[in-house]
Amino acid sequence: MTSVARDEKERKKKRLIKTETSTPEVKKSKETVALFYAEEAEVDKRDPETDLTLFQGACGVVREAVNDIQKMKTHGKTNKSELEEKRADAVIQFVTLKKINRLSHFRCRKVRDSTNEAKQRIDKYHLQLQNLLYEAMHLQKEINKCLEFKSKDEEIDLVPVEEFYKEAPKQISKPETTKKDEHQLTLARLDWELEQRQRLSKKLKEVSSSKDEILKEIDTKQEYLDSLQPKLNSILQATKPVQTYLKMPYDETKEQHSTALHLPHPLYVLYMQSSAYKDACDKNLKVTIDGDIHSAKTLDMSVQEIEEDSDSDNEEHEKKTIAEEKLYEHWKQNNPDLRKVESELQQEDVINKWSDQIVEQEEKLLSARLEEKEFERLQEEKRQAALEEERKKEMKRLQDQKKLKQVLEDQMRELRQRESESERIKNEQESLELEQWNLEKLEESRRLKEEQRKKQDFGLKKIAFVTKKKETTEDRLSDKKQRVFRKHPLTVAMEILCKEGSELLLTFSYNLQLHITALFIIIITEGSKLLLTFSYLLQLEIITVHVKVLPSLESVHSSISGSDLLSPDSILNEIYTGDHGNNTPNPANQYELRRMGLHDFSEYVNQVGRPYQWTQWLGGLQFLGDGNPVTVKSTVSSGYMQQTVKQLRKRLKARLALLHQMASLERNTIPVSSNLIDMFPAKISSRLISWKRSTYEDFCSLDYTRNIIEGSLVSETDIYFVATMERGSAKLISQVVVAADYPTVPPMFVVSISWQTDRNATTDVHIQELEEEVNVHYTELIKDKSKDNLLSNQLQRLLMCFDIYLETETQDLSAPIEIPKEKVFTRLARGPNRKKPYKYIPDLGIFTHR
Amino acid sequence: MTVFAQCFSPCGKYLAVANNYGHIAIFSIVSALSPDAGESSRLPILCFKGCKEGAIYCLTSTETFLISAGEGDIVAWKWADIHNKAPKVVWSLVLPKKGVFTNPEINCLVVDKKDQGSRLFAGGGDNDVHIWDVETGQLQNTLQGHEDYIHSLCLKNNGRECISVSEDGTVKIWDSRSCHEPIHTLEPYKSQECNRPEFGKWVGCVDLDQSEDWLICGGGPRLSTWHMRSLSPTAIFDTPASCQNFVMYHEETVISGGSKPLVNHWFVNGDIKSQVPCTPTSTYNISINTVSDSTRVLSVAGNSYKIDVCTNFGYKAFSLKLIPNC
Repeated sequence: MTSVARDEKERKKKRLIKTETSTPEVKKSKETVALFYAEEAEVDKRDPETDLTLFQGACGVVREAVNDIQKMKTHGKTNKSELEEKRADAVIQFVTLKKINRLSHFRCRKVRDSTNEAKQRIDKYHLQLQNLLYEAMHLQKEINKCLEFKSKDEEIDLVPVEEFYKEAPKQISKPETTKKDEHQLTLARLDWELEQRQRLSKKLKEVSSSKDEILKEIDTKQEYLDSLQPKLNSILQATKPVQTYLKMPYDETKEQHSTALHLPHPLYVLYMQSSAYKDACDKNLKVTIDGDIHSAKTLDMSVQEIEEDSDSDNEEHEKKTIAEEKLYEHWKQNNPDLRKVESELQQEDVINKWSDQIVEQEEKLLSARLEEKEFERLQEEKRQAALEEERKKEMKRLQDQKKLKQVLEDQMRELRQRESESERIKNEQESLELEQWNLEKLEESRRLKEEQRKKQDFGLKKIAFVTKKKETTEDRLSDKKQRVFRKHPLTVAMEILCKEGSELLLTFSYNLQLHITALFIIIITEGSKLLLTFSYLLQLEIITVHVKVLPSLESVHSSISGSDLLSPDSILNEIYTGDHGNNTPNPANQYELRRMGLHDFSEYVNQVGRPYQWTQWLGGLQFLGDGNPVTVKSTVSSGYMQQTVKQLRKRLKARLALLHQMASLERNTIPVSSNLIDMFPAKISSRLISWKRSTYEDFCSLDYTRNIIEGSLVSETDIYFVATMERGSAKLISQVVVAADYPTVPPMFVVSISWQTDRNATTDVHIQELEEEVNVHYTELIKDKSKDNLLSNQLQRLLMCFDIYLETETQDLSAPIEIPKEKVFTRLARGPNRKKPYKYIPDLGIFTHR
Repeated sequence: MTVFAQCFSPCGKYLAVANNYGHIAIFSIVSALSPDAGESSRLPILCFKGCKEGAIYCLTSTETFLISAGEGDIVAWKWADIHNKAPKVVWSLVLPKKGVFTNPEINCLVVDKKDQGSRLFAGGGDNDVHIWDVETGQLQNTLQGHEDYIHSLCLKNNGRECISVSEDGTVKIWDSRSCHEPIHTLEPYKSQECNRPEFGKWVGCVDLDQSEDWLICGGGPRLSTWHMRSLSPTAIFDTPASCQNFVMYHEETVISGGSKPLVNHWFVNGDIKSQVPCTPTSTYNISINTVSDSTRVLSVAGNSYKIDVCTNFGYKAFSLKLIPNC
């Protein structure tokens, strides 16, 4: 029911009431409104309970009246008045009912209103509640978010707390607050970190600016140096006439240095090390590079091609790739241009990196400042990493700078040296004679070079020819062999001057495949030279040495027995123990050679030169037992340089001394050292009657040398002589074994005496004693500088002991005495073995027992 | 290296040898003879320097001491110390000096064991035989008469008599208690059968048989037996081109060695029984270990670092190697 309808009704009711109450019309409207409101107010005042009872009462009355009326109607007792009365009463009751109804309507409306009101209130509260819940949820979320929040600063690697307190200033560390407050502490630490980083970045800037300065300085110095070059050239040009006049090899050394770039790596090491050694400690050493530089240059390029061309065999094909790789590596190592380019590239790379880093750094700093507040931590972190990297690079760069400085210094030094050298040119007029020698030597080496080149050309042609044809396997094999023993066209020659005026000339060559160094030796006696030519065998990657004897005009000592003392094959035997240079020191070569069908390297020694162990060392090659990687180490070279040069010099000296002695011994005089002349009695009746060369085979064929051979006291490489001595009918034949390493290893004498009967150490103990006296007590015969003369001194002692042997030997008294007792003895025999008095006491002039 | 002297220890388990460098080396015979003996058991178990300088020419042993002599003094070592591998000089005797330049060596040492080892006989470079009392260290007697150094000695009649042979070619028989002239002098080089002028007259070795009726000596002259009562040579033991440095009687045989790499075993009548090859080309001492049967060996020393050991005397069983480690 709508409110309008309701109002209508109520209005009708009111009208009804008005009519019932029958109030005047005007008044009526006023009264109805008032009544309406009065009734509304009345509702509040009246109790609904009473209204209910009223209602029930009214209803009861009506019901009663109806019942009464019905009773009356049915009973027929129709009392009209009474009936009317009853009816009136009931109708009146309707008024009451109407009133109550109206009231109840009011009440109902009111209740509805209040209910609505309450409902509205509840809705409001509910909304409020929902809002609050939502807010709470949001807050919870926020809290969670906060709790889950990971600060970037946690990831920053901060300085440890103790360190922080130690290092940071008080105003940053604020220990009074931070000690208690963790947060404050972290903040303070971050502050400190920031400050530190700022400081470091400042430092970086400083350093980079100083680097720029240094670079600038280097540039200016470089410019200065560049400007110096034309000047120097002009100076050089100016000194050229002087040079040519003085025959100074100055320009040559320069050339040599540039040539050195084309040397194979081991020879390069050898060259550098030996020239360094020369400069540092040994002025009597000369190192030069011989050979054809053009073919070396072409070789650098063509090695690969040749290898590819020739590797046609199936079996070789498998190894081809490996070989190529190796060769490429090698080529890289040995190609100077490429080396240069590589190093330049490297340098550029380093510089580029540097500039990049600087720009990067600056950008970082800028952005850092901009975002400092918000992304302080993030930025700090980045910077930290960058700074650390920076620090490392800083170190590296400083090292580079140092290196650069050193290079500069070296250059300066070189310049100074050059200047001083040009000055020295003037001073060296006295050494004109020496220079004359050099000229001769140069001519010689030029001749050699030409020869070598011819040979090489021939060899190359042959190789080319053979590789093209490839007709028969034999050809191929020989080609392979040729290739195996191919030498690098450049060789290093080393000249070693001895005090006596003799010289040792070594030429080193390098065998590429065997990795060994070969040695060519040329000896020029007497104011002369031993020339060692080191060459590098390209395929074998070994350095071999070739030896050549160039008898000089002044060589007066022509000796038959000692003719081969300076022979290239043996002179450098056992510079180090057991090193005869017969076999390749690179164990890996064994397989390579076998593959080529070459079994005995020693057969090819004449062709390729001798690969002594020490030549490899000088070239920085050191082979381990398993022949593992051939790496060139200059430390190896420098480690052996001094020792080896000393040994070589010693060897040459010893050999020359031996040669002197041989010459004299062949004339049957024993050249005893003058300072040891007292060690022997004035009169020795036995005489040396012959001195001859012998051989190992001859030595072995003697029956009394068996023990010595079995005891391996001698070897095939030793030099054998036979000395014959005589007194009366007694004859002493002594086998003299001179070791390659004479006089470090003393000569050994094996004696047999024939006097009526043949005796030797195995049949006569006295000869054993005699040998002992000569062989074992040799140290007495070395005094001051007489070491090289040991052989002669020992021979003299042998002669003396031979006298004693004969004089003390029991003679048949019945026959005429052949050998009289000339010497003075304390006793003839001593001890159970009836020892002979071999020992001479110079002070008393008597012989006694040892 | 020359090994001049050998001597078995009183227990018979060890062999002491001495060489020209003055080293004394001790070998264990027991371990060298054991069935599982290897190369190492034939090396010395102990080696020490017996004198400062020079060779040791002779070794002898009493129940407690090992006595060595050669160049320098006579030196005694205790066997007990040697067993403990800590040898030290217990006592030493010095030869009386005759002159400034003389530096006499001792070539022979003998102890009269039957008389409780109380006397030590030594002969050597001063041409005299010296007799010491071992207990007191007193020089009891000196027998003078030889004109050259003494090579060897042997005792007779429990040491009451002493026989010496010398470089001067004589064999002298002494009364060891008197210091007068020798009782007898034999000169083998004067005997027609013995003389070998090409080797000289020196006599290098001497020994008596058990009955002490027969004396055997040799050297430059041929090895020969002499009857003690008639003092005449009876049997010649001919060794052509070889001088004998050592001779000994052993159970009805004579064993000798000299300047050939052989050990000669003879019948007493002078017939050769066998010649056993040995390592040294010149032998200086042959020794037989008689203490017990299990270690009964014959060892040969000479100018080699190897000392040959024969278990059966007919052949060489093995060699001990004197490799000095001191």
